[in-house]
Amino acid sequence: MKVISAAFAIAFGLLVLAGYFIPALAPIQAVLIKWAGILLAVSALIGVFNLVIVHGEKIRSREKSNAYSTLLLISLLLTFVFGLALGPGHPIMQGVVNGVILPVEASLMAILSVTLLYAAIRLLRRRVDVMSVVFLLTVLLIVALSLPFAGIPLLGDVLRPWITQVWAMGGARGILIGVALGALTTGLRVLLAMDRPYGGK
Amino acid sequence: MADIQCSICGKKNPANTAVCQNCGASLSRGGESIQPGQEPTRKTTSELEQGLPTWLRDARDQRRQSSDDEVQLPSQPSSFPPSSLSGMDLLAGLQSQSDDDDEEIPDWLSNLTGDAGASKKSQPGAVENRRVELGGPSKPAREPEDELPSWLASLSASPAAADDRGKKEQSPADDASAVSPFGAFADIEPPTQAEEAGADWLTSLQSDASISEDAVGSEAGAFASVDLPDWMKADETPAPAPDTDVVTSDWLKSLDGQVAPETSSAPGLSEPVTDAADWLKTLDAAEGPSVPAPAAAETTDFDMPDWLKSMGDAPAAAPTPAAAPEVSADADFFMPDWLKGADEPSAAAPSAPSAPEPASAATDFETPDWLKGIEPTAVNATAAADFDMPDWLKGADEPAQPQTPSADFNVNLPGWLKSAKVETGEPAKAKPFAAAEPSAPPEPSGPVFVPAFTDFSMEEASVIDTPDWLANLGKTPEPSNLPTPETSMPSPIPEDMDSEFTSEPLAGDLDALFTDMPDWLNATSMTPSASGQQPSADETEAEKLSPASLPSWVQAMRPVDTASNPLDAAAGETMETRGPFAGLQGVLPSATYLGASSKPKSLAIKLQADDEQQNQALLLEQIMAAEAHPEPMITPAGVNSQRILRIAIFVLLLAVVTGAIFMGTQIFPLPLGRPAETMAAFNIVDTVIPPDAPVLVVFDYEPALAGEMEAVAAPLLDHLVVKNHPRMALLSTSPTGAVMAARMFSGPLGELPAIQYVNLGYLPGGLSSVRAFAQDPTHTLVLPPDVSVFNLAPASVWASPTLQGVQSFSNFAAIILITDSVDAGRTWIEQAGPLRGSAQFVVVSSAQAGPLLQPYYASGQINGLASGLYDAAVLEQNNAGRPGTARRYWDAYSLGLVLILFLLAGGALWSLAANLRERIASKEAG
Amino acid sequence: MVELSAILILLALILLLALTFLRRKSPPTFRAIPALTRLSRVIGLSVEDGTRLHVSLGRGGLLSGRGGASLAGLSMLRYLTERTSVSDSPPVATAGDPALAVLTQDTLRAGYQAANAEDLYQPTTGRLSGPTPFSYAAGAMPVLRDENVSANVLMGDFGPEVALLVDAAERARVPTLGGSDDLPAQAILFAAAQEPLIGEELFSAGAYLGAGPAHAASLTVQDILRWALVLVLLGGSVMKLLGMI
Repeated sequence: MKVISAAFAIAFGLLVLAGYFIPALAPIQAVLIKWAGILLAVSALIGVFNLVIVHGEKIRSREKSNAYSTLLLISLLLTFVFGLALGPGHPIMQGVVNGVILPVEASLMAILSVTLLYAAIRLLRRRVDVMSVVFLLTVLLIVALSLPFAGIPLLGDVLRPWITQVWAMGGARGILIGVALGALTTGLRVLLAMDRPYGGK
Repeated sequence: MADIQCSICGKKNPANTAVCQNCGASLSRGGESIQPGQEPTRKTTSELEQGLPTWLRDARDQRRQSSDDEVQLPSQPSSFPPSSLSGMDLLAGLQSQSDDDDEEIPDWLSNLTGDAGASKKSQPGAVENRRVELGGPSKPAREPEDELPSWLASLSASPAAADDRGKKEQSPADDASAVSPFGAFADIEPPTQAEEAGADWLTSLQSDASISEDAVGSEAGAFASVDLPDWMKADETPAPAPDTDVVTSDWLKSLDGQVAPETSSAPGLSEPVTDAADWLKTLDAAEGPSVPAPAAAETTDFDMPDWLKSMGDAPAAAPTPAAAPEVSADADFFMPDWLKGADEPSAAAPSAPSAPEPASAATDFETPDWLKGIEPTAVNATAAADFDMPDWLKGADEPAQPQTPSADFNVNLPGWLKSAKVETGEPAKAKPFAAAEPSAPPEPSGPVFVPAFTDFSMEEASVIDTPDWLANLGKTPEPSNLPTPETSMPSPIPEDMDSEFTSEPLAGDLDALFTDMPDWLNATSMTPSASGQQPSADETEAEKLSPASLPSWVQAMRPVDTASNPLDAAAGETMETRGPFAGLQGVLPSATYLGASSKPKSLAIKLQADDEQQNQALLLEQIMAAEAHPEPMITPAGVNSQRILRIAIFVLLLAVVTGAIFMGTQIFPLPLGRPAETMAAFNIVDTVIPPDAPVLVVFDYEPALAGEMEAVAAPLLDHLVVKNHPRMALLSTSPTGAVMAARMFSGPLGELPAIQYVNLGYLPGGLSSVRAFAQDPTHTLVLPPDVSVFNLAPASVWASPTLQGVQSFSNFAAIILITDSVDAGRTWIEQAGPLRGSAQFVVVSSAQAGPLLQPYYASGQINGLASGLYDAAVLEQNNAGRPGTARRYWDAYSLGLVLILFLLAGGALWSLAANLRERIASKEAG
Repeated sequence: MVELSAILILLALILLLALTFLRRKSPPTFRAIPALTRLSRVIGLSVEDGTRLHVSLGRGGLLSGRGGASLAGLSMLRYLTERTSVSDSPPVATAGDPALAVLTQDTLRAGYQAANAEDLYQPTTGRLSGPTPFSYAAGAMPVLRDENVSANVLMGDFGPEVALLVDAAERARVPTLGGSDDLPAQAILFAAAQEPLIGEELFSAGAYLGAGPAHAASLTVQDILRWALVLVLLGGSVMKLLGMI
């Protein structure tokens, strides 16, 4: 059975890949992609169900911070019910989003700024090497050049673009190329069933 | 050819003779002792049966014959009331001897009576392979207890009858071998019948001793009920009918016949014994044909064991058949030592040879080997080369003379012997220990009952080669002659192993071979006073037994005696004195050998360890020591530096940013720069997009970045809406995108009137869904946002007036992508960009994604790019400052950047200093 | 453009197959990566202490370009599960994508099966922390604080929210080993994590941990293609300078 499923996965993967290069296979690719989209949509519900099970188990076993798990489950249930009943464009739903979801995530983003600053300050405490110093100097430069008064013609128009568009971008492109090659080989490995971390032994 | 000296009597015999002409002992030298280290001589077991004693062979024959013939022994009044001899089980088997008149008297018995040894007649077919049986189901049935053993019955029989009886006894016995103690002698041929000489010693005894037949018979009857050991049991062949009504053993008969005819009445022994004890016959057969039939052979019913026969061999006995020499040779080989005496010269008692001469001359009795070397010397257990003959066998060396049983003898004899009879007229059987004496055959005066050992006199017994126990019955046993505990039970192997197998007569008490010898066998010498010296001398001679001729298998079992020379003991090998190796030398390693080893090398107790091992051991020791010391647990401080720093940073940032926002300061001027990608985006919206054109707006950012994204997208969308009044389709690839879209048009763009838009909702599937939508947006499953449980079948959005004329992705006039991630931007650009046709593609991104999406603008894959609050400020300046979000955030943004710059710089320096300080401190600490 | 992509993919496929199945005289040698070297020690300490590992796979969907990083994270999860299945506390895996959460559970079960300890598998150890990145980070942070975690392994597609995970781990005194295909996440991990993985080191973890010959062959193919791209870039630049293109 596992062999059959693996064979199907390999065949469909190769069809989707070939559909990018062979126009005749484009309709088949489109169909397969639509099916994948449906499966992903269903997986979203499965993920929510998994979330419910985990926090429910946490509440049942009275683990630490199970109160938050209770709040989460209540919120999830209410949102789900109101969303199905009223629709996502309903003002109530908009109020929930505007009053709960958005502020929470915005706060997390704000904490992120503190965390990043703290991490940057502690970098040299953790390790002192060339890359760490260069990293910090770069950060300082970019931050400085981003200041409003950095609109100084030399600093704002030449230096900052040269650092960000040339050096940073060059490094970023190199990293992205390497990541792309790694993703390519990893995808081919999984496509050819040479690596299946999931699916049993 | 050199003459052969008889080891029994010492007489020289011609070289071509196999049996001593004087005593009838075998002269074969086949029984040479085995020397240490000598390879065993291979023997054919089928020929070894001949080496069995005659009495043994006869017993086997009788067993076989009795089962076939079902011979019923004639009922004869038992002269031996069973009650009188209830305790003498040893001799019970003697009663089972048939009293066949035709049975010959064993030679040994006939010799006792002094009768001429009847010719030993070979039995045709007697030489055959017989399998010696050790016992078991085929055990022979007990002979009737009322039957006298032949050797007792023949005492009252004539010598001739004894001869006949002996002949018949030589017939193959059916299962006499079952009682044979010589189990190893399998498939050996029975020796030729030479029973005539077997009873010589007894006949000689009988002739000398005066034994009343009645006494003997009475006691014989009592004796008959005693259970005799196998070696004394006669075979079951029916003994020939006795000549007289007196049942007696042949040897007793011979004794009686030699002593007195009137003493032949021995009812106890009147029962003819068909077969003498096989051991007596065997002796007879083993000694060869030249052993004259003793006078005891006249007792036809008596079958004397060969060892007894050989004692009274007589040169006048007819030569035995041709097979006899061979048999005798084999018999000598397999005859135990105590039966052999042919090769044992009697050196200790010069008078001994003369003693058995008469006896041997009288009968053709074959002296067993163990008896040959016996000399009437004093008992000496420690002598290395002497063999002690039991007293009752010592009389064989004495000449067989007709002797009348004397009252002296009768005193000390057991009852059953007293009633023994000797048949007259029968040739005397071979007398044990008796040399062949040319004595006249016993007088054929009818069956003469010779009581068993009761009518003999000691002197007469000694003369006629009576066994010592017979000779000594009338005497008080001399202390010197009595077997002492030491001598009676010596070690199984003498100290000197060689002496056991040398030609020299063995020393030691013959009684030692018989640990449980009955008293009557251990009785003192019965030799008369006249020959009292001779018995003592004969004792010494008789005690000397020639070494046995060991079979090959016994030879192979012998340990190799590496130190055969006493001198080797001096070289370091010790003589074993105890245990199974007693008498052997050099078997076990001596202590000196063990002590000769070198001193073991002394090893240092201190462990040899190198430096690395010592260091590791020290480390392990430290670890173990540390385990014993509890370490204080490091409890994290409630407020530590890290927490303080975090709090400080948060407080500073919060204060600056919120203060600037709440205060609404406008200290910092808006940027004056005009990024090209930003201006291009503005220009597309300003001039390129036609009025009332369908525009796809993708909201693909997270709520966390809603503030920034709304600040950047609001001026552009505001300008689009105000300038072109487009028909917008809102789409999102994230679950919260639709909500963000609704927030956008209710918040920053809320003040705009009548915005025409339709929300296409959430497009799941990520990259693949984007491509699918780009390929065929109308057939891609997209739920309208107003679907609900109350409106499960809303109208298709593509049929709405907002999206009128939009059938493909390229029908859109512009595509505005609002995203906060590079991945989403890349996805739309790479997947949908090639399929947009002539539609303008503008990307609005966050500040973190802007630099990574810049190449797409540079490559022309997108038409405009606006990223971050900076571009938002630029866009607002070009949009007449509307909506003003960027302006409101600009001072807070700028102050925050300044604070971050200073905090980052200061903190980095502080961290670097702390790190260096720790390094220096650690270096100083070592 | 499409043709170049096809050529690149075909070349990668052929090289991958050839290098995987062809026997090499000597095993390939790779440069030392300290993070992966210390990973074994971290695993051992975790098993000895009776604590658990927290493995986070990020929020990358399988149908997006971030799927490769998610698959690399799944391989790492399989390796860690097999080696920590005998621990008193099994590893916990969190994900920011629903489909990835399902695969996380399947990978955990496969790891226990490979270690012949399927009875020790608990389905709740594979979780969806949140559908959005920050909600996913918010859902993963309590795991580091409350579930006796001794090491934090972040392998997958992360965004800036990874800083929250690393900070939560630092406040719980839990070392972090992380790698992402996203540049901002890499920058954050470089500054905050104890053992960062930069660039394609995320995809080389399998080869360094002995996952199989295909992983080693993948690294070799990457190197070959990288050098090829370098040559193409240089050549194109030269040609551009020369006005040839």
